[in-house]
Amino acid sequence: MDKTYIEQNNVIERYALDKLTGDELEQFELYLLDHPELLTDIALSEAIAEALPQDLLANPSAPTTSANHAGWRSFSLAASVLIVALSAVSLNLYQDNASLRDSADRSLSVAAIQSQIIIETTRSLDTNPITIDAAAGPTLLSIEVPDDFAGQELAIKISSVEGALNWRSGALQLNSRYRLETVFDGLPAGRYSLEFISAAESTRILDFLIDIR
Amino acid sequence: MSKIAARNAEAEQEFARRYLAPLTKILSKRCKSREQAEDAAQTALITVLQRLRGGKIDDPSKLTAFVHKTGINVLIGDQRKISRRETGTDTELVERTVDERIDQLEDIIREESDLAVREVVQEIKNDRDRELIYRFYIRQEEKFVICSALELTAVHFDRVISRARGRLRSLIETKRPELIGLF
Repeated sequence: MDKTYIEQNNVIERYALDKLTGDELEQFELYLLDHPELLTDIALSEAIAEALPQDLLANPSAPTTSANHAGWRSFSLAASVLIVALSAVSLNLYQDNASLRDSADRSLSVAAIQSQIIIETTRSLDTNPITIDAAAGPTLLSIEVPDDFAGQELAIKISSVEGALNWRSGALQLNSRYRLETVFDGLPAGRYSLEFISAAESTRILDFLIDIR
Repeated sequence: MSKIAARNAEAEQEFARRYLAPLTKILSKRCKSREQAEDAAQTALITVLQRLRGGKIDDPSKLTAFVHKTGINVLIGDQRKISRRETGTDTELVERTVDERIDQLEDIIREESDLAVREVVQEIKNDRDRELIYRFYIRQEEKFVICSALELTAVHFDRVISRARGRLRSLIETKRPELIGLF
């Protein structure tokens, strides 16, 4: 990793937003140890992320979306992140999304949501890829996970097969029930891969394909 | 490294000062507890110092990676409630070298950022650029998604983000000049 890569890939901002993972995270941490001057830029980026919502909320002319975030520290994912439809396919992955823990935030986010999609998956995947109709407007995705993974830390990885989208969640604590919840605001048609990864080893546990039409 | 192996106190303090702040930051991102991160960073640096004194690290190019790995391992060990390595009297050296700059940095920025961020956003007259900031920091959308939605180039995107951060820095440094050169 070098300065050019950091600038072109907005690494400092993504580190401030806790969006770096895997090799990229490790490489940046090593770079940071040798370049402590980046600590100031990281602190500034964190400050922008923390102070910005209040600033936009105080400004009535600020841009808004159909999910009105008044009082909500957002964790809505990119518009192009995957929506997975209600399905009879495998795996129960149920994970509380840390950003929606607060009950007040949850009620606000739910009020803004126009549709809800729940994945309940069984262990055996008989249908691959799964075909799903895209949902319109802010859509809550809820995915459940099996009890077998209790005690492990998992991460969810969603990527488009063309490589344009590549998103991975942070490590998710597992207990007897997991639900991953996140809000999407539309999704382009296309084929996506959804993977569950062991957070500690970054090894793939399960994956399947989804076609959004 | 040779000076540390020779127990040169100044070299050891420089070593601790060099790595303590960034290592603390790295570990605090991983454990979300500043206190735990500080403790783990100090313990890790003591461990590395002991190895250096014993001449067990002879390749300078691997020192940073070793500091990184040791820091994470210490943090994991602490999180698993494993008893800490015995550090003996070495604790004194690193504790004397406690780097308060990171606390000072974050305190300054925290105290000044609410108003300063508001000013930065209000200075952005272009609605599309403001929406870029909103989508990136609040909705945490990916860069390519934002560029596609707003019909921006990656260069423009980078410029807006960089300019916002730079403007924030400038505003805070004007009010709190002690921020300049802190790192």
